[in-house]
Amino acid sequence: MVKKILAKTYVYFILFLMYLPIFLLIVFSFTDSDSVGVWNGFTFKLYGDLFKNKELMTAVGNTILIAFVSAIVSTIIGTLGAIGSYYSKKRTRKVIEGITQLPVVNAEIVMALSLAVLFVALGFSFSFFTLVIGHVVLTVAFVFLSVKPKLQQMDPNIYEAALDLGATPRVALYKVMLPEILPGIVSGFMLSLTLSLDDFVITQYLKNPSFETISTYIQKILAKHPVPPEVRALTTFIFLIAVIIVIINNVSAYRHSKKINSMKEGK
Amino acid sequence: MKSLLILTLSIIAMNGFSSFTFNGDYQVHEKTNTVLKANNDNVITIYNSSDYIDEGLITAFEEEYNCTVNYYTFDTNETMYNQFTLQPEGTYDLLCPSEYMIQKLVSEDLIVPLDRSKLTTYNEYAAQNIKNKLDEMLTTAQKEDGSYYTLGDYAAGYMWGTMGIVYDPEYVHEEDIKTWDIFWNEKYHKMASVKNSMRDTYVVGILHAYQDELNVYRQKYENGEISALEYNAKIQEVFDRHSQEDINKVREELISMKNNIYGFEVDSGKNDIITGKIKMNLAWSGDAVYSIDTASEEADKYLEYSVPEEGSNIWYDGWVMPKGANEELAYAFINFLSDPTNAAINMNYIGYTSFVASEEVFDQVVNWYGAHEYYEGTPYSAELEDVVHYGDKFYLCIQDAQGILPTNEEYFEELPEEDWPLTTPVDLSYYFASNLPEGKAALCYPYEDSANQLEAQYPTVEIINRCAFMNDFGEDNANVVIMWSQVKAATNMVPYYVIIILAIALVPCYFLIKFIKEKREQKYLSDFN
Amino acid sequence: MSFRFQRKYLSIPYIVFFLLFIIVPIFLIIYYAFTDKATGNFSFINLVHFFSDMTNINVLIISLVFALATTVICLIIGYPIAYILANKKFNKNKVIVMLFVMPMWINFIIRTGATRDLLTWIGLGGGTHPTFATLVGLVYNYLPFTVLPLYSTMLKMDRSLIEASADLGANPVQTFIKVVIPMTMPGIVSACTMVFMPTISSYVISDLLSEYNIVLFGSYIDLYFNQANWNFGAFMALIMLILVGISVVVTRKFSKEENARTSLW
Repeated sequence: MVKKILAKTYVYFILFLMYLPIFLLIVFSFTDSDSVGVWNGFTFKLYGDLFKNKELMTAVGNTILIAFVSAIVSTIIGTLGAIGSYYSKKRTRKVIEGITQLPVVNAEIVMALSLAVLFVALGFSFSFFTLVIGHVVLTVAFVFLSVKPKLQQMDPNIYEAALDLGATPRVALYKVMLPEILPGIVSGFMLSLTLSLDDFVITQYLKNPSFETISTYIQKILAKHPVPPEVRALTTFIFLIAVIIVIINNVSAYRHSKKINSMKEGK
Repeated sequence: MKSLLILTLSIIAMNGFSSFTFNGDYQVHEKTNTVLKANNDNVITIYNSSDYIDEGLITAFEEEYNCTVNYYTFDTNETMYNQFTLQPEGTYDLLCPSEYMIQKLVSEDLIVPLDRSKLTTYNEYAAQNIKNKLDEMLTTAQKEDGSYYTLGDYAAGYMWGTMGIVYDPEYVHEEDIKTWDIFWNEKYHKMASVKNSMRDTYVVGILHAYQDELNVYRQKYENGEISALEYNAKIQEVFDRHSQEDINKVREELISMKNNIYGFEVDSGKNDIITGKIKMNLAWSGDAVYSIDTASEEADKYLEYSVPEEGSNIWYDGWVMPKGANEELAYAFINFLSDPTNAAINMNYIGYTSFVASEEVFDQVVNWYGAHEYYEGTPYSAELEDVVHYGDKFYLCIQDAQGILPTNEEYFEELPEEDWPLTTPVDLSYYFASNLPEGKAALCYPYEDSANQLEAQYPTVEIINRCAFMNDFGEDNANVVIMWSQVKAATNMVPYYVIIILAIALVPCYFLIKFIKEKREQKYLSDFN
Repeated sequence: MSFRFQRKYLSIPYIVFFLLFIIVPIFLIIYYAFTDKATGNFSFINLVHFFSDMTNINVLIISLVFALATTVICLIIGYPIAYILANKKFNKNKVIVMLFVMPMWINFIIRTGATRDLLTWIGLGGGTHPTFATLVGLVYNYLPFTVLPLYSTMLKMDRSLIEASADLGANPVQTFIKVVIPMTMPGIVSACTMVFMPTISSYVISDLLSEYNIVLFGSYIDLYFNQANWNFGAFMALIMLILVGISVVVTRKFSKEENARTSLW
């Protein structure tokens, strides 16, 4: 019993520490002081300021834009890559799987630097395009890795069956294989999105100077100032979104397990 | 944060993640044209230091000229250089680097000389003596007649200032702050912070390294043996030393300084000195003005700014035009900023000292520091005092025919002594005289507590005499970078060596233990059999 | 000849993309690393420069020590958490595991800034306590990456072995060292790799939290990149790459060995 209480206390204490900085930002988003630690009375002013801060809002928009564009691109390339490699000869597959590990283990700053060097050598100027490539480099391997296990779980005969039943390869791919591996594609897409939303290093090295994402915009300010007041309000929103995601996720997981249980009982 | 993926991956796998969508709850002002502009006639792209303009002026400019301004900012000259050189020609129309970076840009043939005849407003209102300073600084570009272009040919000055130390007189003794020694002074251990900037710390290092030499010259100057010009040339010569030997000297100086100071800061120093985290801060004059002002208004704290007597750095930021710029709007923008009223507005916002020395700017300075406009031939009178009134003290007084400054006793005898302005007026005529209307003298009698701030904003001629600018390091820049990284990384390595050696020693230990264990297991197995 | 669709062709864009934007850049890094900036010719000048200056080695050592310290602290804090969470009695619906991951969805720059503001507020900021502040920032950032892999290995762990060990007379310490640790070794190894290398190459956390007093290898590379000395930056990136390679090899070796061992069980 004592042991259990101790264990609980420990876990909650660490959790408390982990949430402390974030909660401080959220708490102090309801006052309009310049930095955390000074309470100037309760107000929603920062929430108004947040939407009035054009630069920050642009940065939020850019962050979402780049995340979706690069996630879509890497989902397409990564999924096709996984399917293609699954049906390649064993040696080709091993090579593809081997190089897939590269961006996974590589240090982000090395990737960023090497891409910057490449673009300069090619005479490209940094633009939205180079940034998308950078983010795709960062994320595409993870799409590959989340689609691959779904391919392995898939019954290899159903594609052949579809062909036998007269489907063209393209139809067979769309109508038969795609639904089978869809969960892997979705989680690959979500991963790309998450990674891209959070990225700083690659963005910093490959972006056009006029283009700011949340990370680069705030980092530029942090070099000189505390976390800007409006960002405290922004944190509240991000946190709420994260909470909602967790709730949805848990509810769906709960439903899923309930479904499985009822299916089992039905048997 | 690649590992985050793996993490999320496992979480998603764990919970049988279905799909969700991000709810765009808040409205996003999305700029669709993320690619910089094509060379349109009514678009101008400006690349400036961050927090270095009142952005209201940009909107005003856009309205006045019916154009679009793409306004981007950088944090250091080096970032600017990196980004600027990576973009195709014609991306930017105006840049605002510091003097040494302008030299570098000229030497790499990246910017074009300005047509001075088009800088009409700038020519009219910018202070002549500071413009002259720009014209004394040479670049590496040669004119047709073999002479060299000056910085003034390439740049229209924007802001300028000195480098010095902001300090809290409660903790720091006035005598100690007169020399750069203070950063090495153990009395002030962990009390000072210094800019995390290669060039600014280099100034401190080189001045400290050749302190004795400089002191000799100062003595000579004070004794009247050499002129101000010769004295300044000497300081300039010391500034321009960057041979490997000098760099090594500076490194030693800076490493020993690093052990005595609180730390390097990017821009937090100007606030840290207000909160009392540090007692001294190496600061540019504009930041010093900010610190002194904010400290007195918000923290009820009195700070001082001092430019050490060995000499210091004077710097200039100016507008330059890259090749392929939209010239028409670029000249218009420079002139727009040089407009007397706009310059005053801008200066009020950013706190640095503008190149513009118009009457409007002077009046604003008067307003800030509680000083006095000063008209010749207007005798002091109590009635006038009521008519023009700034703050709680404002007087009009006269200058006599010989131009000798009046003393308090002479001109304020009607008033109680506590209402007298400071006994030493600050004479800003070296800066403003040429742009003030006839009969108006650039004299300031600052409020008791604002003389320090005024001096930070408009250094006296005496201070300017002992300040030199810093040329681009040229070829030696790479060596200075190495020196700087060595200073940055210098720390007490002993604990690190101990830990790393212990960690490395663990590896053979691991294999030894494994070996013994295996032997034992084998023995056990064979015994068992 | 007509083109006949084969499914394996689908991976062509993937391969081309990898070649162009991952493999070629790495070779470019190698090329730059062995090129003299001034002349543009092949040269070992960057290598000589790197190893002839003790500062560079020191930065590397400092980074290694910080990475080591971060990994060890993360393990010490994270291991018990994972152990507790993997106990089904305590953690029925995985909500608490999600709670450990959730901070990761707040932008990492914001989190780092928040940590710095908090530390400065309570007087433990990077100006006065650079080492402490940096370690707090690193541990805070990488703790979830330690807890998760440990947690997923411990879920699979056969807890009856622990009871068996106790039944056979081992005391809790012996059980922990001889049974629990070997069984969770794959988790420990993957936790280590997730913390160790990223710490060496991280630069935002150390820059912001130590107020630029501590220079880790990542910020060192960034410093040279910012001063437009790409060749030397590329050489250091190459060293980083080699370190990554070593860590991959070590990890492989470890996890294989341990797999062999655990399969022996």
